[in-house]
Amino acid sequence: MGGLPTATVNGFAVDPSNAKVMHVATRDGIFRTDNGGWTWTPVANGPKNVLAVAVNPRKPSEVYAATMDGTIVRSTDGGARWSAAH
Amino acid sequence: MARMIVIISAAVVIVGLGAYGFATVSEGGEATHPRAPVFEHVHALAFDATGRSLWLGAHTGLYRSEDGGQTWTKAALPLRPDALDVMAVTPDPRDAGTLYIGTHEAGVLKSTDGGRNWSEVNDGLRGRDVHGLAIDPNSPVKLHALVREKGEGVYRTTNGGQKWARVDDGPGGETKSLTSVNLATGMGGIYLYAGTAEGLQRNPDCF
Repeated sequence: MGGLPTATVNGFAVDPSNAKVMHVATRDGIFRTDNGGWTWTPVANGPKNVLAVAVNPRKPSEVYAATMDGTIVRSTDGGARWSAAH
Repeated sequence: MARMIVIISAAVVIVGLGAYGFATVSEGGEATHPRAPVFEHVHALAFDATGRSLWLGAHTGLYRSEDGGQTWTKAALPLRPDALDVMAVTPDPRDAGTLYIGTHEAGVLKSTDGGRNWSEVNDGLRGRDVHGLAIDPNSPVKLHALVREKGEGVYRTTNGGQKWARVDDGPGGETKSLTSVNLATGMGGIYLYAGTAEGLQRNPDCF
């Protein structure tokens, strides 16, 4: 699982339409893989202190995450870019 | 993240300002933006099968948003309505009405009507501190629950929670999440992924 920090993984979500696409929530931010976990890429300029992440099963490009301070953030491009959901 | 405290008619409103705009938390009285409830600590986030309802499990309970996380409604849970610590939220991927939650105190609860009514489904679980709950996307009546402390281990049900059986010791380290991932193991099953204090771990679910 190259590129994924060995620190605590708070949350995990998988794209139901393509199980090789996964998202991991950590203190250092969100990490994404599109090859089943062989390599992981940190999301640039994404939120930190992330506790949970979820993929919309009907629209897998839509990904939500919750941070430690209760902020809900949303991505509409599969987790590349994030903005506040509220 | 900068914070400011605004007092409005005896209501305390905490507004977090940061790179993602602002989130408002209100408790008591009226607030200018009473949109997000007090989660305290978020444990889980999951969509229902339709992609319309976003469920959030937190230290202070279970919440549902129908507008993409802008506003939240707290679900009424049985047993300890104000205090259930919801560690895992696991919607049925084929049936939007069916939802399971794993709790810190009361084991696994199941709803078949979209979260209005709940029943305990703990037969066979030797503990009630459930930190992870995974549903098989290929057979949603099959779930795995990770129990900590008393009765620690991974339990499996093949009938939607009617009966659980302990099947494994579980991953090392404190588990934060448990998810069934539809990647074939080559041994007739798929993988269970566990988010833990020691990183991401996976194991075939056919143990």
